Amino acid sequence: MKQKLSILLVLFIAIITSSCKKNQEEARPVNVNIQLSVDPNKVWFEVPYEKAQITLINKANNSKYDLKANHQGQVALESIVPGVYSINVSLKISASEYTDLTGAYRENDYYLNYSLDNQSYFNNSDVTIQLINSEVAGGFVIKQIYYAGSNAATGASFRDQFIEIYNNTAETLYADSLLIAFVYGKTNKTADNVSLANNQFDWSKSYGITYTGNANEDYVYVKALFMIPSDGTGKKYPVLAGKSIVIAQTALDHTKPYSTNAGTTQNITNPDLTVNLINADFEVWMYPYEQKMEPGRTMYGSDIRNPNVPNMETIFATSMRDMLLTPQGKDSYAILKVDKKIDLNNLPAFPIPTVTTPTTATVRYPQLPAKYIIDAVEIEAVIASDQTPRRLPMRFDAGAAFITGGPYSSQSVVRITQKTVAGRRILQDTNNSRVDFKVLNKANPYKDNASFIDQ
Amino acid sequence: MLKPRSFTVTYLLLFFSILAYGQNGKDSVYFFNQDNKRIENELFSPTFSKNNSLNSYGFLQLDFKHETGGFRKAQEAYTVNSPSFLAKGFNILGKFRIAGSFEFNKSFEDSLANGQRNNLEDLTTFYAFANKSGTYQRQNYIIKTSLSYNVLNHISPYLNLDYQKHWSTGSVDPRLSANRFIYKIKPGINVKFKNHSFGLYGILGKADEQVSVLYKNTSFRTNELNPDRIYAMSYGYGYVKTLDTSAVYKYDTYKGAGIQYATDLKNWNVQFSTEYEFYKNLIYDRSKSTPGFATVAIFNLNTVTSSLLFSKNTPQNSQQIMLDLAYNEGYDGNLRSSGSLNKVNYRVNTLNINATYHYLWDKHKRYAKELGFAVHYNQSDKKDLGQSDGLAYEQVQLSIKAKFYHQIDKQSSYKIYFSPYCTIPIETNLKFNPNSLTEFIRNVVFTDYYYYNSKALGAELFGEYFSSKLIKNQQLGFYAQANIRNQFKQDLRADLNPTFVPNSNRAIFHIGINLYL
Repeated sequence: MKQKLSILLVLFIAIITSSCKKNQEEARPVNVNIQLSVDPNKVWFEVPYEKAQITLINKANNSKYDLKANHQGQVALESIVPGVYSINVSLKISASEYTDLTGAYRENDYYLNYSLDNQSYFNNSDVTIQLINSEVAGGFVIKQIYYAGSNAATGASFRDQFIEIYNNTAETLYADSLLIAFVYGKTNKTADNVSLANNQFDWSKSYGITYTGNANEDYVYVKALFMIPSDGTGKKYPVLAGKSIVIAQTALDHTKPYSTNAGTTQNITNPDLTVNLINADFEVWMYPYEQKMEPGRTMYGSDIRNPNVPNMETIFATSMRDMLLTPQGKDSYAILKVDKKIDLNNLPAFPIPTVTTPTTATVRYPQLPAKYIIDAVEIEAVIASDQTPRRLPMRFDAGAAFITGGPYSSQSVVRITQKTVAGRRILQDTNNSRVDFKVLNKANPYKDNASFIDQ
Repeated sequence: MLKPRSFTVTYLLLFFSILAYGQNGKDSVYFFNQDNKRIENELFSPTFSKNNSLNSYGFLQLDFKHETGGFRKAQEAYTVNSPSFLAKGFNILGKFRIAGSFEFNKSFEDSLANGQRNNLEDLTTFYAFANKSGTYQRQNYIIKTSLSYNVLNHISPYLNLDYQKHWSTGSVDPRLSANRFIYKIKPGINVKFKNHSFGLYGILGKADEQVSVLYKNTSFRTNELNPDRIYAMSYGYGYVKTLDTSAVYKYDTYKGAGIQYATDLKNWNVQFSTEYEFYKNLIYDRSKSTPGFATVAIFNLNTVTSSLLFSKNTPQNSQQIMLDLAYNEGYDGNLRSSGSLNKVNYRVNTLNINATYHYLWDKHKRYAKELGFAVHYNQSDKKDLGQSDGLAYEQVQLSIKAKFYHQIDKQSSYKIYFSPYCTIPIETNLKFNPNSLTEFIRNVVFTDYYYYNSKALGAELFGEYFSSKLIKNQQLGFYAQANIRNQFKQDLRADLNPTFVPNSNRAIFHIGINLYL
């Protein structure tokens, strides 16, 4: 009896399990072979690929892997989980190595970068990455961006945001007419037929757009544009070598209570979370711009004017009533100086490509030629699933900077110091913000030693 | 179709009507463990109960469980406190046989990590995962009924209904909220011929579950300073997708069939049952009424369970041989990790076999003794195919059981029970790819590898005092139970770096009161 029952049971299990496994396709890990390369017309010498810093990030869960290429620039990734990845490559060739490799003298280090975002590897793949040389424009660089803001309840929320710009040369530079652009892009990562492969807007498909060259690579589209004023001499605001200027949203001491434009008191619960911007070099006071665009509009409560601090000139701003940097890291920032060919009061502007029948109420984003960019920093959210497609052309920033503490964490991103020459700090500018920037746990607008981060 | 609340009311009315007819006496049924086991088998089985002359049975229990210790799996709490209430019984009323049980339990769990989900299904996937340990509360209402009618002397159609309402909630970010209800309908027919009783039944069931994972402090969701607070959805046994969706909807079905057979062979009573169930788990990231409602993932589980019970009873002694088997085979399909519902990413199969033998003697004397032994074999193999990781193990647990029963006087008695046991890993295989590690692999797969690779020595001690002095004609039992197992120290591997390694011991204590109706 027992034996018969046992046989029946085993047969029963065998039939069920074998029938379940029919025609089942199974997921498999994939192999990805990466080949690093360069354009031989531009980089004619033998590139030491084994020095490249390669970071592979699984976009599904933020898993990061540091990879090494061989001398031929090959990276073999075996049995990785199928999915969507980003790859960032940064290769530094020191000035002396460059001389050894080329026989030509070079004063500064030489950099090759590239990044690929949202790459789907669901099958075995061969990937070729052509590294590009991003020659640094020189001059001003963005030293610090405090976009996070501080705790919304106990700190100053977004009101204490600022951007710091640094003279990275050995000479005095003038900040007159320097433009600060908030580069705009898609705030989600939805795929559609008016987007590029990385899901960023394909601006060439915008209604009525005009451009020369490539609409996405040769231009940036901005949601805000501010300019340091000038008296016409171009030499009103000198910035000494190794010195910086701070542009505040509101140049007040945010560590103390103050009166708002609405006549109420803005209290602060935890002053340690925020900063004193009373000594900022410039501030954004948007009221005159708002009056120009919408006469009679009530002054924004926290857009308070500090008469002792010069105001930035607002050329364009949308979706903000003060210089609001998105705490979630969905803007990128660029500094530019344009020539007289560009009429800042009549910039061409276009709606986002998803708008097919624009009206007078449709927001049109000013188009700026990318050739005027002096420095640019791509910003991204720290959590991979919150990241949106990059907004800047690759040659201006192949990576992205990010704070680790998230929105309202008091953190800022700070460009690291590459070296110090005769007491003057030279900040690293490889045009790859992933390696150029680190996080300061509390933003520092005071320009002191603590506002720098060593390499 | 009846709504869950209607089910609850119907079941409760049905159930308490059974207890109302509960009768007195039947001391031996309650006293000896072998008789308890038979009653358990027969409670919801019209087939098995045909060969038993017992006409009614009733039992109430109030229990408190305390479980604690570091020798635990990755998805187990360090401490669990759980009060529960159980009432069950059956009665034969003319041609009707009616049986029911009602259980309510609540648990308070502390230091639970790596699985923000209900604790009902160990084999399924698609749940939130965060390494942050926290406190959880869970609650269950479990109601079962069985109604059979003797049409002719030999034929009895019957209907069994099972209902369960569960919720789990967490109070540390990320906070879980899971609400699930399950009902199963099992219509069957039993045919009795001479001393052979044969039953056949079908299973149709449904389950709905809504799960949400929320943050009270939303900054935990957006920063990397507390990576253990950032949840990811587990899609398999290694693949996780960070912050994939904060809501999960499950619409599940159960289908299956079972057979039962009972007979008497000389002095032996034989009870055999086997059941096949197909569980289909459908996952959505939005509710049925929301636009874009579409299946995100599926999980299919085939389960075969079988049990064989031989019991021999004489006035002087009893013997019992029990063999239980449970086999599970499951696989998934999901859009997240493989891009297709038809491509399997997660496979699981498990096999559990329990064999026990008990011999009881001197039943007719004031002092009865019982000896027994048990062998438990556990095998499990879980793998994530895309992620290239998996954990397979085989374990065996051997135990010796010694029981002692003492009839103090006509109104009072006690029994004690001691069972030392040891757990021995036969084989433990861990597979992972260093280029495809995730926090799930590090904190669940690696931790469980150490757990299942551990040798352990334990002992279970139980004592119950029976008395009918407090309530006239009713037996009250006061019991206490302790089960402590200690892990043997094992070497740690240099290539594994889980946050938590199982260590030391695990103890489970019960105290409670039984009322035998």
